[in-house]
Amino acid sequence: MPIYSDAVRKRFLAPAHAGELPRGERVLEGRAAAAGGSELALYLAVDADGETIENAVFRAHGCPSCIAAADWACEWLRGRTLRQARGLTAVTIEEGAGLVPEKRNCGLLIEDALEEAV
Amino acid sequence: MNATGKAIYLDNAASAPLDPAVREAMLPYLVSAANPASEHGPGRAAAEAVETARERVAALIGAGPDEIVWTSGATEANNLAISGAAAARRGRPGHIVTVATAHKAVLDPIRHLGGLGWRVTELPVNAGGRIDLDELEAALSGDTVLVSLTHVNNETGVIEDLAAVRARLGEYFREREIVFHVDAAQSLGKLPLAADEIGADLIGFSAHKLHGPQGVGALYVRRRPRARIAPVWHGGGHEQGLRPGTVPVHQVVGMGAACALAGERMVEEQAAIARRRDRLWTRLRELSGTHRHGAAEHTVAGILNVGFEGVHGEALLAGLTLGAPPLAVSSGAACSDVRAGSSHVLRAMGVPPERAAASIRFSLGRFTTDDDIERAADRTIEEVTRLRALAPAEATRPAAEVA
Repeated sequence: MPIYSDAVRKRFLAPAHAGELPRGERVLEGRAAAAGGSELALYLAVDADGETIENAVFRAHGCPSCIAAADWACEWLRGRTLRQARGLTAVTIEEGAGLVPEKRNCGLLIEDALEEAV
Repeated sequence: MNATGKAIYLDNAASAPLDPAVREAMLPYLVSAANPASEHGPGRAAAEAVETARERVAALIGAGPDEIVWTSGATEANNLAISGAAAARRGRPGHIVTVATAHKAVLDPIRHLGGLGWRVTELPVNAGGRIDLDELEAALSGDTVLVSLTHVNNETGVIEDLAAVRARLGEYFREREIVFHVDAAQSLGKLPLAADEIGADLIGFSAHKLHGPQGVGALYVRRRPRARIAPVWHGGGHEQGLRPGTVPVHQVVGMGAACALAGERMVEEQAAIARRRDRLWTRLRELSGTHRHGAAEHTVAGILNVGFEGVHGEALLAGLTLGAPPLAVSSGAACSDVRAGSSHVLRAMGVPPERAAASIRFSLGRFTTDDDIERAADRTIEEVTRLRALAPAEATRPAAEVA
């Protein structure tokens, strides 16, 4: 059974949302780490009202599924409100990013980082 | 189109592509071979081909043809050696000494015996990957039945100093009737390997590690003095009663041809492979935080095991194997699952877990070119750099490994 779906493979090899945002008033940062040595940093830039996420990028040290899931999540977060962001769960990430069930914990890592950020 | 495709193939320690000359030698027997145990003309012709092949394998290790028993590969050869030595004791459990870095084809049958009441000692290795002879000697006791060592480690290429083992303990093994088994799957055709210099009673081999066909191997069983071994399978008395089953003529002909080729070319070929391996290591050291596993002064030419700091092991292997151009490389042994954790071999050598997980075995063979090496180096450097850049700053600090 392949451990990486096509969607995961593509995002892992060429993530479009990798990066960092300089610390500032309108930048929210969330970090999370997992037992296996994975680390994730999420950076969200919000608009002047502090409501809408204008930009979302990540840095990750983790397996291909973690990197792909983070990339998918950043794409999903862009243009959404902080309230919507709080509702993003590992189950949604697993489905959206195309993770295999055994890689569900990658979604949890993002959920944790997001919780810290917002 | 060959089955290894467009990938840059650096996984020869897992399986070395069939040499076209070996294929040519095999084809007539694949197309039509009689049962070599049959007494008619075609049967006798098949038997003759089998015996020629046996002589060729024997010649490569300085043994007699009557000391070669065909098997389906090194896994079976090692299982026959270990379980056969145990079977010769008619069920009375004793003590077995092996090495913590042995291949699973050795460790698993030994651990199986451990579950049946045998006492098992797995010797540690030093940072360079070798055992300490004092520790081996100290491990031996009155009930030791079997000592099983590895000639060349499959993950690191570390060569065990078997001549030193023989010099120190050969006499002792003989006096105490301790069976000495060596797994030589990774050394056949790569290193000069004289059975009597190694002093082993049993030596396991595989054909596909030296550009022969998959699915065939052999066990050297010493005749004088006769190795104490009993069959594990029963069913027809083939192979001196040690390994029943119709001998697959095309397979053993292939192994014989592969051994003959390796014998002719070994010195020149291994020197060329070592030069390419050194070039690859020189290139990979352009990256910071790279570590070569296994002491360079005693590793076989074809294997380079490198650990990369600051990258996630699974991401590194996936990036190299899925990226473009794809590399065919392994993380540890091909048989071990990257998801199941880092290599037992590297961990036994004291490599920190994170780096052990982010280690790649590059293994070269007869068909590896200079261009393969340059492209593989370029791709690896690119991928490690990419993954390090993707990581949050803290994860890439080499200092993380100091603890």
